[in-house]
Amino acid sequence: MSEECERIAELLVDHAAGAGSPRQKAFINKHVEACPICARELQALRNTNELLAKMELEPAPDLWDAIRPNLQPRPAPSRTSWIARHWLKSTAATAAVAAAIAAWMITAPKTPTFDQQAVLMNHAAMSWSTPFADKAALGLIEVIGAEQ
Amino acid sequence: MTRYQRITVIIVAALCLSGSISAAPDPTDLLRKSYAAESKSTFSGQLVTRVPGQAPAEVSILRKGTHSRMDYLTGPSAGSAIIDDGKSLITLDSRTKTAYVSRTPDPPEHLDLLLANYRPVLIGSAKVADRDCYEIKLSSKYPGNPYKTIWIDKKSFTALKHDRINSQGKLTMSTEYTRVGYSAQVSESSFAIPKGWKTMQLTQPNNSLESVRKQVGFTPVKPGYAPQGYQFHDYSTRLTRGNCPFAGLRYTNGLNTISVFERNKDCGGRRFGRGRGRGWMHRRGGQGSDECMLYDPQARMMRTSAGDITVILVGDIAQTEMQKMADSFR
Repeated sequence: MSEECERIAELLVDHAAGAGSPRQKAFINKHVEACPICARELQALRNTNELLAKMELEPAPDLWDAIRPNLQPRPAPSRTSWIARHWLKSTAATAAVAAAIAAWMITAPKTPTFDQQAVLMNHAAMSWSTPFADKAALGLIEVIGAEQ
Repeated sequence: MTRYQRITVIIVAALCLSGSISAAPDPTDLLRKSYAAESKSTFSGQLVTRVPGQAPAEVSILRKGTHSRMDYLTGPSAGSAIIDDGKSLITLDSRTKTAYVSRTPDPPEHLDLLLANYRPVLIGSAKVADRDCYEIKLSSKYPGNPYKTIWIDKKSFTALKHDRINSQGKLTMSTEYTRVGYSAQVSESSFAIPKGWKTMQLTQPNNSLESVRKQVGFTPVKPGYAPQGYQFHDYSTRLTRGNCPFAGLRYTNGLNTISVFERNKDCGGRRFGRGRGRGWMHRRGGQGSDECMLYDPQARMMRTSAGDITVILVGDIAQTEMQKMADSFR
């Protein structure tokens, strides 16, 4: 089971998003029907996708401030060479994209790995018997694993 | 005023004073009564629980002594249920008709460890689920720890509301009953796994060191340092995907838990804590420990190694304390 689980694990993210060939989908569906662990992980991924779809993603407040310094004013016509103009454009575009990616990496929610999910769920289980534990909240972590 | 009248006045004043003092209940005594009631009371109710980043979840609850069942009615886990039979935590996944079973640590018989690390203070009264409650704050005696405020029913001593404040002073978990009824008839069948469902064990039943050593294939390593007030509680074997069990070591200060998970680096062909998704950040100026804040502000997670063993620490404690704990494996 472990080898097939390993193979399935590499495909589950795409599968949860509805991607993949029909053959691949059939292979995963067959495995998931027989493997509750992968089924649970697939469900967690689907829940995550649903949550992300519901989220109203807004750019970071300082995103524009990060991009603006990298933007160049439009060069005066015919004063600079074609190469220089295009170099400036490509540099500015690259910088803007890099700034946007950096801002996204900072602001985007962290997605825990499957092992991290397992670790956190086990932590919730190990916290269960502590006096005055908030079992309803711990149960939420236990049930949904790592949906964020 | 004669001498006898003065003495009479003093005695009456003293009696009134002692009466007013005894009228204020001792918060430690209330905590003990509440803890005892937790394993004895029978009731049904409904509550709302909130954790950061998720929609509030409405939960229907049945309790009978040490057994309880929670059905998640709304929120991201709607349709799932959890049964606590006093020894195991059973998660019911209705979609796959599978019951996931984790053995839970034995609860402590008394509150001595908690009271050694937390100071209970009665801060007032309030109504929760239309019932009069004592409001008790459990302040940590040592900095860098989470703390709680709980609301205890004045008649049944059931804790009807919990607020958990994390080590950074932020509210991380909040659960509040909206309805509770003590005259409910609770059937034993509510706490059983439905017939025909698959059962998946997530822990091994035996949690002796020898048993854990046999199952994981190495001797679990204890950290050389634990934050002030925390004590080692028990070992367990935790099962996960890929048939590669890992060892769990639990440390607690009576209210908060630090989990230490250990696994052979090469077990299952994957490195523990690796996988898809982002999260692990190499610690600045690190000594081999990676840190990741997952579920911020609920828990901090840190990864380190001890020889051929990968170690992951999970808990809500100050970063410096977790770093000390991680470094103590070297």
